[in-house]
Amino acid sequence: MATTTTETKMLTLCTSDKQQFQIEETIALQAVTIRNMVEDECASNVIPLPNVNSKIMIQIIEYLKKHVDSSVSKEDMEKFDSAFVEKKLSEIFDIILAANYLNIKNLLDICCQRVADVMKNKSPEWVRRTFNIVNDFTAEEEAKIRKEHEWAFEGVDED
Amino acid sequence: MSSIVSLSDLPQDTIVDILSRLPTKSIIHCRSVCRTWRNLILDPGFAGLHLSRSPTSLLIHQLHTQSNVFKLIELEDEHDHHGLCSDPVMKFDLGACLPNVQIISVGSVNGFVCLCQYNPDETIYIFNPTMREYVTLPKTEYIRRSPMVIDYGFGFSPVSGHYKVVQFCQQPITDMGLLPYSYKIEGKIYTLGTGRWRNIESVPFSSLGDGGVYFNGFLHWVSGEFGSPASICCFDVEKEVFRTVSSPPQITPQWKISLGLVGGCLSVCDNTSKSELVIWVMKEYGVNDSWTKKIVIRMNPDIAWLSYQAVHAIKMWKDGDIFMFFYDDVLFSYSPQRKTLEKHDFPKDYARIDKNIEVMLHVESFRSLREFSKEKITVF
Repeated sequence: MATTTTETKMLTLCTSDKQQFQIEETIALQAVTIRNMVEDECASNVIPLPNVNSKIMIQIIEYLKKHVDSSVSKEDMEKFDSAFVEKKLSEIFDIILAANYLNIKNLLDICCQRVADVMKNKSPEWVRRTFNIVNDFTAEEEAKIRKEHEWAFEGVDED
Repeated sequence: MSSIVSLSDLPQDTIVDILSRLPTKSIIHCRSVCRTWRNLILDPGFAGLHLSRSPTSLLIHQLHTQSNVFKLIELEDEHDHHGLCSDPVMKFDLGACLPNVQIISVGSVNGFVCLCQYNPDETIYIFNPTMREYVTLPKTEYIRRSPMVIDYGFGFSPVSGHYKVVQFCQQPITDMGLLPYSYKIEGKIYTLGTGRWRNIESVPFSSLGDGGVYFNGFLHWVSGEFGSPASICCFDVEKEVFRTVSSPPQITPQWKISLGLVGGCLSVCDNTSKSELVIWVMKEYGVNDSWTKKIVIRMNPDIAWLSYQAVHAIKMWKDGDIFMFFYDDVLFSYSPQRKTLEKHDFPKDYARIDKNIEVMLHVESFRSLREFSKEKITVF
């Protein structure tokens, strides 16, 4: 029987809710924050990630596993990415926070793009309602701001 | 398990990132969502990030009318198809704020459009159509009178970040009855934000033809006298010095030669031959030997009209086809693979499309011209 000569190096990630994830180092190192920790040797066997919970970590690992695979064609990767961001916005926001903390640029990009795609061509009222944003302008101020760029308010989707 | 995170909980950098990906109109809407967002969008950092993502569109201007109508058309440019979107994303008429003037475009760089008013007098404007702002530059001493030729270029220095307008005034110094004509060229330059024109010390070219094409910190014109080989006059916007770049072989300056950019390369479109139209590209910028024939369109009876006027190359689509403009009225694409030519319709709200159209590539920018404090600013 052949024995494994190249042992796959594993890392253990510990999330905010104290769940441990054992993943291959090559997968984990795509996150710049983890790579810096490993390179600076400030990480012991277990890497604590106090800003990421296990529910989000599972999704991020799914993303990183796909993206480490160099055999996936560009087209298939785009398909994967667009399917990956088909989530509720609250979940996308959680992933954005985690991707920001872990410093995974591509993941941050596709999530920001997803939020932008939802907001595209929507009225200010729709944006406030959907994202729970308080309108802190007075009615006069708001009218004045609109008047500055009146042309842009023709033919807007209210919903 | 997890607390509900909302958009407002995201770091400001991330909110700026999201907003910078929106189309222009949506960004304007977001300015009236709340104070925080308004301030984020007004920040110069936002304008920079947005510009880096802003798609290239086509700005169409109808000339010689009482009105000066501009329309911005989105371009669909994918790996498997290309085209023009039929509804303009923006349109405006400068006739309302600049009545009874005749205007031609000089160029568009980083969202700023330089326009030259040539009648009733000589005035230069820099516009930001997205911000609905323009500045009027102080007048220069030249009064346009035949046979004098006045030419402009509008460029940007990536080194200093300065925007500059150059003006060339070409005066014949020989008797107009005698060929070849000989010109004396004087040049002036204006840096946006300084409030004054300066003289360019010497212009080492005797004649400048089609051009003012901006690329990578340099402005370019076809140069040379009629009947002799052409060269390309290249002006360094930062250092304000000239140098000569060779033109493709066998090119002589005349009206059916035009400069452009194709696939990130300086290009020359030569439509002087009755039998073919040739697009040359300078594969390596500044390397005279790198001129290559990129496209050759063989004339045939179906496209006989193509040989009558000058043709400008606008851009190369991602699918490899070349987007071009014939004279002042026909937009078309040529496919080198299929050797076919396809005309593009103008946007559908051009009920009657006249000639006298000019087009240029334009990217939208949220940078305000108010940042340059020396010029008179007008909001329209």
